[in-house]
This record gives sequence, C-alpha cells and structure tokens, in this order.
Amino acid sequence: MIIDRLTSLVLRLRLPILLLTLVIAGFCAMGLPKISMTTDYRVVFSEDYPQLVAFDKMQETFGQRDNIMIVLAPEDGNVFTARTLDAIEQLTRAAWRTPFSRRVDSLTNFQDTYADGDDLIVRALAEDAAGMSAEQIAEMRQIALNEPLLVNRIVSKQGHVAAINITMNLPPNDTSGQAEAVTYIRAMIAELETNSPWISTYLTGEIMMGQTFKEASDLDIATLFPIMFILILLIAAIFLRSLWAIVAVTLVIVLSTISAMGLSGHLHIEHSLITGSAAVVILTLAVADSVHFLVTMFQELRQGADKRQAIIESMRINIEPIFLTSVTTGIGFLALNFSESPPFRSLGNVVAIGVFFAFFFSVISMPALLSYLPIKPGKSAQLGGQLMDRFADFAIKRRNELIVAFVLICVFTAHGLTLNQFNDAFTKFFGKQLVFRQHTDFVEANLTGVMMIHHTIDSGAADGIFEVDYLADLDKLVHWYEAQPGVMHVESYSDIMRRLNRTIHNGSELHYRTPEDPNLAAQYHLLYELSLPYGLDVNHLVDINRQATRITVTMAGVESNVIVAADLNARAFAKANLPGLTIEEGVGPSVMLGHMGKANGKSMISGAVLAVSSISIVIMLVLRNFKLGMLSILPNIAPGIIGFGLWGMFNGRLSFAAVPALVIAFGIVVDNTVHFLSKYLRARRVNKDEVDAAIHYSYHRVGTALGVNSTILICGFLVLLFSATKINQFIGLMTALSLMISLAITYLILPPILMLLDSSSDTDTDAEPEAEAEAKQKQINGPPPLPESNY
Amino acid sequence: MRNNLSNPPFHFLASILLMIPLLVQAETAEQKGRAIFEEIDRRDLNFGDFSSDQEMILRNKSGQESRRIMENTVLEGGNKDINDGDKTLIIFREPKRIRGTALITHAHQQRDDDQWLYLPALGRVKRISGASKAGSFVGSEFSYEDLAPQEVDDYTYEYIGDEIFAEQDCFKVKRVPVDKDSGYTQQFVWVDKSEYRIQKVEFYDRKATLIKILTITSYQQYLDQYWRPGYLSMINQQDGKSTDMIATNYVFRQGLTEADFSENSLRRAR
Repeated sequence: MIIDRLTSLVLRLRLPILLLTLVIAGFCAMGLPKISMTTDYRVVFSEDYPQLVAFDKMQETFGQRDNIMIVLAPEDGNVFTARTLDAIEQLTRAAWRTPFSRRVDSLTNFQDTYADGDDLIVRALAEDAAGMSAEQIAEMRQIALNEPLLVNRIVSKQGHVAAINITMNLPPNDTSGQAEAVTYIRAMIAELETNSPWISTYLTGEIMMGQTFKEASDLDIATLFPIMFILILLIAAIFLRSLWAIVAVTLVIVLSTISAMGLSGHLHIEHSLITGSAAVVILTLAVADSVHFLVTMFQELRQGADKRQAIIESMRINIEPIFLTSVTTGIGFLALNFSESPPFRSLGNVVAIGVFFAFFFSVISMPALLSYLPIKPGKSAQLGGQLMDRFADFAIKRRNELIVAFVLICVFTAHGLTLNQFNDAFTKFFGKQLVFRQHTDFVEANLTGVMMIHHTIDSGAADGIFEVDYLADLDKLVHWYEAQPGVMHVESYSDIMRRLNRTIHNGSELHYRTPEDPNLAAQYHLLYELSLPYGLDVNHLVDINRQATRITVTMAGVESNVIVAADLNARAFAKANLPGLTIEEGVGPSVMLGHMGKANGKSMISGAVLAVSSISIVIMLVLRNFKLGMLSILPNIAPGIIGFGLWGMFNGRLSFAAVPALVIAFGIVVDNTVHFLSKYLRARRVNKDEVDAAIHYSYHRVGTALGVNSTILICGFLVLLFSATKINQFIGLMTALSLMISLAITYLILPPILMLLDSSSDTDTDAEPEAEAEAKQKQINGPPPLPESNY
Repeated sequence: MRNNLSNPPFHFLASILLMIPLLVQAETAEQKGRAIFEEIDRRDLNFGDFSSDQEMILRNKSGQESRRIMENTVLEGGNKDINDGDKTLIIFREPKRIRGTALITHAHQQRDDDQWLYLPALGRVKRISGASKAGSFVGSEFSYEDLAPQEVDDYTYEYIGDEIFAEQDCFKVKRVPVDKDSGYTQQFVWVDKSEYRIQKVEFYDRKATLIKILTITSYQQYLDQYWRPGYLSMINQQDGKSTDMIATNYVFRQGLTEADFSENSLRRAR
C-alpha cells in the first residue's frame, strides 16, 4: 500500500525529514519580523469599496477627517473656571505641535465674532485664561453654551466636560505616523494630569481607534496564547497522558503556527485586528490533527504493537481522514477570499497555509520525531465505547421522533434566522476591557457621539453657496437632521453665516439667520476669512470654488442601521423639499461600516456556494457515492442555520464578520459528516452490513473519535471568547456552537436519515463498480483489515 | 631673516595674512544671513509705489481649480514721508460676488498691522482684527503673511551655505519669524547671488514640519532696478493642495500718496 510505503520512507529518512522540517520552519520564521500590523481602520474596506471611494473624494475637497479627540472632565463638574480654561488653552497650544496634525479646535481657540462700532472683531473665546475675571468667564460661558458649533461637540450642554479636537492629516498607509501622533498626545496628557490633577482625560476618535486595533491584538496575543497553551496541556493530559507525546504535540503545533505566520510575512499578507485569530485557529486545528495521530498510535502500543508498527498503523488509519479534513477546512478558509473585506481574505489565506503545515508536520514530521522519542502509552483513557452503542440504539429506535424533532428545530431556528439584521458599530468592535472603549463610552455619555455622517452639499455653481436659497435650505437641512434620533450635533457652514449676519448687525438676534443677499454673504465670508488666524480657516467646510460645503452629523448611542437610514432619509427629504441644494451620499467610517455587512454578505455568497459545492464534490469523490454526497449537504449546512437561527433569537445583531464566520464554521463541521459517512459506507460495502448494523459499526469506529476531535476544536474556538474584539469572539462562538450542533446531528440525526433514505437496494446499485471489485477482491483474499481504532 | 621680516612691505603682507581668519570669523552666520536680506532691502529702496494685476489659481487634491483676480498696489514706507511700513491696497475683481471689495493694510514695524475691508454690498468699511495674517488668504495656500511686503526686522537670520537652485548660484538662509502669531517656526530661503531675488522658500509649520514650498520665477526688472516676479507657485506638502499666482501689468511710480491708502479712499476704490 502506498501509505505503508510512505510511512517506511518517513521512518527511514527520519533524520533528513526532521532537518528539513526545521529548515522549512526556520525559513518561514524569518518572515515573522516582516509581519506588520496595520493600525488603519480603513483596512476593513477594499480600495474600490464604493463608500470608501466617495469618502476619499469628499476628503480630497475638504481635507482628511480622521481625528483625535481629547475630552477633559474637571472634578468640579465645570469647565468654565480659570484654572481649567488655562489648562485647555495650554493643551490646545501643545496640540498644534502633534505630528501630522492639521487643525486643532477647542473651547479656548474657538473664533468668536462680535461687533465693536464699525470693527468686526474675530478672536479666540479665551486668551490668557489664567487671568480671566469671573465676569469674563461668565460671559464666555454664556457665548459658548449658546453656540451651535460648540455645544455637544466641543463643550457639553451643562458645561461639565470639554473637548480638544485634533484633525489629522496622515499620509496614506503610514502606520508609524499614527503611532508617533498617539505617543505625542499621550505624553501631552500625562503632563496635563500631573499639572492639573483635578482633570480627568479621555481619548477617542478614528486615530485612537486605529491604534486600538493594534492594542487589541497585542492584548489578544497576551491573553489568548497562555489560555490556548493551558488548554493544549489539558487536552494532552486527558487524551495522551504521556510527557513525550505532549512534547511532540507542542512542537508540531508551534512549528505549524510559526511557519504559517512567518510565511504570511514573506508573502506580505496584511495583518490586522481580524487576522489576530489566525494563530489560535491554526493551533487548534494542528492540535486536532496531531492528537488524532497519537491517540491511534497509543491504542496500538497498548495492544502490544512495537513503536514502529504503531506508527505505521496510525498512519494507515489516519492519513486519509486527516488529509480529507484538512482539504475541506482549507477550502472553507480559502472561500474567505470572496469577502468584500480584505482582512478576512488575509485570515482565510493565513489559516489555509496553517492547515497545510499542520497536516504536513502531523503526518510527516511527527512520526519521524516520535520514532526517536522513548514514548510509552499512558493509562488507557477509554472513553464511552458503551455510550456509543447506546447512542446507536437510541438513534435507531427513535429515528422517527428524532427526524420530526430535527425538522421542527430547523423550522423554528430558520424563523430565528430572519430575526438577524446586519448592524455594526466600530466602537462595539472592542471589548470593555479596552481603554478606548471605556473612554469612547464616557464621551458618548457625556459630550458627543463618535459616529459621523459627512455630506457634501452642492449648490451647482461656483460661488453658489452664497445664494439665498442655498443657505436657507442648508439651514433647513440642519434643523431636519437635528430632529433625527441619535443626532447630537450638526456642523454646518450655515451656522457661521447666521452668526456673521448677526455680528455685522451689531448682535441683533433678529439677524441670526442666513443673509438675504448673495453678494453680502460672499463679502461677509471674505471678511471673516481674512480675520481668521493660523490654521483656523474655513477650508475644511467650504470648497475652493465656493460651490459646495460640508455638513457633518454626529450621532451617539446608535448603530449602523440608524446611521444608514438617516443618510437615506436625509437625501429623500432634501430631494423633496430643498430645491436650493443637492445633497450627496453620506460618507464616513460609520456609514461605510453600515453598508459593509450587506456588501460582505453579498460578496461571500458566491464564496459560500463554491465552498459548499466543492466540499460536497470532495465528499462524493472520497465516498464514491453521489447520493450520500448530496445527502451530506444537509447535516453540513444545518449547524450553521441552527446556530445563526439561535443567534437571531437571542441577539440578532450581525456584524460584517457574520457571513465569513458561517463559511469558516461550515468548513470545519463537515469533518464530522465525512468521518461518519466514510465508516458507514465501508461497513455497507466491504462488510455487506445492513443499514442498522452499518450504523452500529460507524458509531463504534468513529463515535468516540468524533467526540474527542470536536471537543478539542470546540475548546480551541471557545478560547476566542477571551479575545478583546467582538469579531474574534463571534467567529469563535459561532464555530464552537456549530460544532456542538454538528456533533449532535452526526450522533442523532444522520443515522435516522440514513435509515430513511438509504434502502439496501440503492447502496448496492449506487456503489461504483471499482469499489465493488475492490471489496470482492478483498473478500477473496481474506477478511479486510478492519482497524481497531478510532478511525 | 629678522631683517627680512621687519622689512615694511613684507611686514604689511604678513599682517594681512594673519587677519584673514579674523575677518572671516568676524561675520557670523547670523550676521551674514541678515546682511543678505539687508542687501535685498537696499536694492529695492525708493521704488515709490507700484501696482500689478494678480491672478490666483487654487487647486485642491482632486485637481479641482478655482480663480481669484485682484489688483495689488503698494506704497513704499520707511522713507522721508512715511516713517512706518509699506501700505498695500488689494481690490478684488473676481469672483464677481466680491468684485469691488477692497483691502487696505498699513504695515507697522513695532505693532500689529492695521487692516480694513470695504464691503460694497454693505457700503461700509470694516476693520479687521490683528492676529489674522497667518490665516489662509481667500482660501488659497498663501497666507497674507506670505504675500505682504517684508521688513528685515520681521525675522532673525542664519546663513546656511551656498547652493545651486534653478541653475543659479544661491545663498541659502534660514529665517525665523519674530511675530508669535506667525504660522511658521522657520523658513529656508534661496536668494540668487547675482541679483538678490528670492527664488524659493520652504515653510515649516508650528509643529516644525515642512508644510509649503514656494518657487518664484519669471522675474522682470523695472526702471532698470526693481525686480518683480511674474509667477509664484505655492505647493502644500501635507494636503496636496496648491496655488499658483500670476502677476502682470506692473506699473511703477504713479505718484500715489497716503491718501490713496486711507480708510476713506476705500469707498472710492472700484
């Protein structure tokens, strides 16, 4: 047999193989330093993602919008005190020196306008705040808390917290610049907290979020790996009970993981928050492969075989199922290449590479290594042989009830499926253990939102933004938006125009409206523009042609569904009611993410179809049986349907990781079906068993092994629940859940289905002639070698 | 030998040789830098007044363009009549919504400049508050600070070295603005040695990173003395925006007086 020859070859060439393994792993490991972790949230979107293209177009006109927001909360609950204003003023000055900063907005440098005779005075709201009198501060408070550009954005309504907003201008794909800026800001904050201990500070904004991508994955590495290794030791202790076996398993899984990660560095696969789970997944799959091999080998050793025989026997039994499950799992992960979101493509490719290494190292390198080790089997850990028989009896006896129950559960949970909705929020990516999440939650609760919709509002002609209708309609749009749920603040040029008009009319509230003469508006604009100091121009709100302005709607406490709906409704409202302007599609990270769930789902559909069909074809080829191949689709996709149905009933919030998680789970659960069906067919063909006897045989042969294998995988994926990010938690939870469901289906539902559909006459006619011939040949030559093992 | 040394001509030569290092050391980099700008100033003395037409072409990152057209008139200060800085009048011609809007600046050596803007739509003159000259000028990449006539005392200087720029032998000088409201921490200026014209300026923003590069070309000489540029290109290095300025129709010595630059004169400006 080819496999026996392969094993002999492996054992004969064990030294070269081990050396080659080390060389390969060493070469791959050299790629590890090349792995760069992106801290740019934009990595979630592909370059040609329509909403990203629109966002970039807006930013080309009005400048980048990514920001760092520092929120200051004085313990006395009032930012309008000389000492706190002084601290804000100093921090504002220091903030201008932030690397890659473009603009700094704060309570103190806000450019207030007022009239003094025929002079138009434009000046910072607070200057030399330390020396401001109580009356001056009271006056400033009065102005600030009535200024729409400030309230709920730079200062809270009740004046208890204030923000310094730093707009950044980072070169594209420059992660070091971002880190540099954050380092500078943190040093600045540390100094503030020493000098002004009564102020608590909170940091949020896109730049901090990007930085948290990296911090979250660093935290994941620090927490998930220790848990994973404890788990591996536990698994090894329970199933292997041999120190040398633990050494061998550890070596194999570490080498697999290092090789896969290192090779991904050589191949310049982009790593991000989402690929952070790759290492844990590879470790899990590699443990499953190597434990398989060792469990069989130990069984052989206990039955008196010598080490060489045991290795050969374990190879013979395991190489095909390990190869098969590697292929199906690999297909599942490679299908992630259809994802709209590049990090999932990276995740799929890295894990697929890892699956390959795990296979190679488990069946080639590990036998070579084991042959050197003074390995002895531990005490027998015989689990549940009788239990399996009882399962088989139960499943056969209660087959009708089981099928009815299964159908009911499917229908019930399919209803749950419809309760799922795509709904995302960048801030909710992160667990509450992350500082960014805590700070952002504080900012949302006390000051303003972090989710924004930016609109370009076009007038249709150069200088058109000064037209009476345009400004009036812009004002109406702002009011409409302010009335929408979740809207905290609307930043609009019309508020500047209203204020200027009032100032020029000596502060008369009657003129707190948009000007009614376009020439006048344009000239106010020029006057205001000429009066603004360094860096505080209006170019971030107005384009160079004076044809369009930007409005930014800030929302808090909402998720992407509300944001996407607000954008759609705003456009419908403007189209119907505001002829003076054209509103462009809302853009921004939250809007992009809002569309991502659906876009990713759509793009993954072809990937999912391809994965399901190619895995089914693989199963048909291996089983050499079309009917059972088709039949296998049901138990393979049912776990995903039931799992997501349960999710819909208990949570129902699908992130854009949902469909990728479904495909990953599918690629992994098929193992169960494949193993069970292959043993079943073997019994039917080779032993000419009746259906129920064949089911008993299958239970006996693979029942325990499936339980062991699934337990390892379930535990491994459950480790992801300790991740600091919701995406990894979700992938872990859904895969583990699907595996549990799949195990139950394999034990309880697959046998009744086989009994229902696989009448004895069919199997014989369906079986391919070659299989028949092979079976007959074996019968002539004597009884077929029925391995006394897990598989 | 002693005789030879005490020989008067030889003695003289020896003392000259000994003094050379002293002479070189006598002028520090700071002094040399300042001297270059004093020479620029000296060569431009007594132009009296001049005017020109200016067209600005603004471009944003996506390549969108926008135009501003204005007339610029300068009255020389610091002479026997006006013991102060230059006076400038800018009248906007385009875009048409701001046609006739006029900006007067009185530069002062010791205090903030005075600025007034006449708004024809309002029929009134508005005074503009002081600290604004570092802000963007009409949405362009130029700030008023970049365009305004420069005084030697506006900066401290440091001569960096000689460099060839645009095939011309140039001095490279670092200058640091004195005004705390300036948008810049430092500038590097390239001045050609033959005619003392500014060829290139690199501007460093408040976080001390390069923000803009100005290159000045198409210089022409007027009245056989005064060089004026025909083309200025300002490119923002941080956000991909740029502004070109084309200056034409230079006219010198029209006999303008302070009255032409008074607040009252603004209403007449069209």
